[in-house]
Amino acid sequence: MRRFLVRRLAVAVLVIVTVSFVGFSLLRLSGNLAAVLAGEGASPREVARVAAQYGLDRPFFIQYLDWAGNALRGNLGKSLFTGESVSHLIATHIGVTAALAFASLALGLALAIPLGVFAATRPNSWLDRASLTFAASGYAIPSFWFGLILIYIFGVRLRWLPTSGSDGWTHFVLPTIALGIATMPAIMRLTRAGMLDVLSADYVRTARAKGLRTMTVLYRHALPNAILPVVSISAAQLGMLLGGSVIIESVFALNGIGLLAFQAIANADFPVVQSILIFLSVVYVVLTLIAELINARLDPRIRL
Amino acid sequence: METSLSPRRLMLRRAARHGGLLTGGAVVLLIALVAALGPLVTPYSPIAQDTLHTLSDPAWMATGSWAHPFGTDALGRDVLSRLIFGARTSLLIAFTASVIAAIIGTAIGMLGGYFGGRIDAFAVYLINVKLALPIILVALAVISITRSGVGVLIVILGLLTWDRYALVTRSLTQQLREREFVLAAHSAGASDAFIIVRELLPNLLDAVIVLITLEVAALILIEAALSFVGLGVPPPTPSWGSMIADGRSLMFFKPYLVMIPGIAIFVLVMAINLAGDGIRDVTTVR
Repeated sequence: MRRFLVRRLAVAVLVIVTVSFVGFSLLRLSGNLAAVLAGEGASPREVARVAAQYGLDRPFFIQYLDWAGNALRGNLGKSLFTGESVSHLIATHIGVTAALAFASLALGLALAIPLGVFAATRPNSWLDRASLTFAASGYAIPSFWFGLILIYIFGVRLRWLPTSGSDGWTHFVLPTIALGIATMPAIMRLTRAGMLDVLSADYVRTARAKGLRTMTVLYRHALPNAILPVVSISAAQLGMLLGGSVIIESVFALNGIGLLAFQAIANADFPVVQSILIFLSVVYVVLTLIAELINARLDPRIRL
Repeated sequence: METSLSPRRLMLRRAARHGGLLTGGAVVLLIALVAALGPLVTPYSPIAQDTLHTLSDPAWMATGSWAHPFGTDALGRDVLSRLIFGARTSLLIAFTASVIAAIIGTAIGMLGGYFGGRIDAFAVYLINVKLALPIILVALAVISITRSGVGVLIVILGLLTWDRYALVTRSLTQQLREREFVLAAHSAGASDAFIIVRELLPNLLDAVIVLITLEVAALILIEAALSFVGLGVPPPTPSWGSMIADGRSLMFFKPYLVMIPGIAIFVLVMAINLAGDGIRDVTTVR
């Protein structure tokens, strides 16, 4: 277990370093940042002045090392737009996004696991097919569009729920639905496939033969063994939800890290953009690492 | 009786009985055909503004007319024509980006899976780095800085979506590497390059085609989302995402402006996924 842990941690650190470098270079290589900052129609001299002001005229690698050294000490720089510290901005916005991501994942799991178990008990029947199609349709609906439709129905027509802002839990209901249903199909398919494997196992037959109730067999005996892949996909989904809520947050004006990133992109506020990008990558790496460790704990074979 | 048939005939026979594949495939083909014919079948130019006929209702409403079956938008542009050209944009971007991603991912996956050891460790490391990058955010940031058109969008999306190809081809290559036909090629003195391209690649094509199909669906959704926030396909080129964005402010008076392109995305993505799953079902030998 120890060797496994050390190796996984080393890979995670290496990935994080690379991602930070990629995130840093992406913004610099995809265009002349100084020109973007100086604004359209700026003279070459102005562009050069802006480049010098932000240290953009230094060698690229020096700029990276400078940034990385500060980042390790928790200093991610200042927003070019508001002058606020980027780490403070991230800290004050991540709560909303995390709440939205957890709620969406919870909704996805709550829909997908029972559906997957249900479908697996009747493989290849029309009920199975209908469940698979229902799950697949959750994936095919563009979530930003679904968000608009929800706003139209529940916010405007029925006036049940608020349509923008992030003041209370009611503001999270519609964005959670819009984002949550997209996580359903992957989880549902994995649950179904895992259950199909497990349901033919001897111990499940024994449990049935003992006369246990079907529900007990399914949820107490079979599901815990079928759920292993769902742990990994949930971690990956959570990471993707954190990064993927950019669009939904702007649809619902939810003041999370996604909206922060979106506004920073619109303002060419590159210290904020690159920090959020790298921050979300690091969160993803950590989440998948945790999932792997949970899996290794649940299934000793993985540790080999 | 099936055993007497060739694998290809067997596959076609299975395909002919696969409801999902037939339905999905038919819808995809129909949309692709209309998109390909584009200007030949659209009643109007998708970008021609007609200020005398703005926001006319679609034909199924009492106030609508068949002159514009799906109505017109706030600038008087014909919604049906924009929808058809939007399909063109969407399919072109998603398909080209998928092919780029398939080439990158398959190369990384096969090299890692075939050679193992350090090369494989490097491939796995690349995959992990790629997975950690938030796709939408990276795409938004790069597009907003480069401020360029469809070409850059396609390349970025291709560079951001190769991970699944790499994961799948890597594990398939690891399995095939030990099979007799590969060992036989080795002992016959075939080079690594020959084995990878001529012996292994043909055996991976089915899986790659299934992945391309499913990734086209994912990319259509991503492109729509990017265009919706104004950082995808630049106007006035019609895109389903930007049509939804245009209709958004009018949603309460003219909901069809938002409904129609959204339903179009849903139908196309659903159909592609059905077809992709179907192809997987009929090509996988059980």
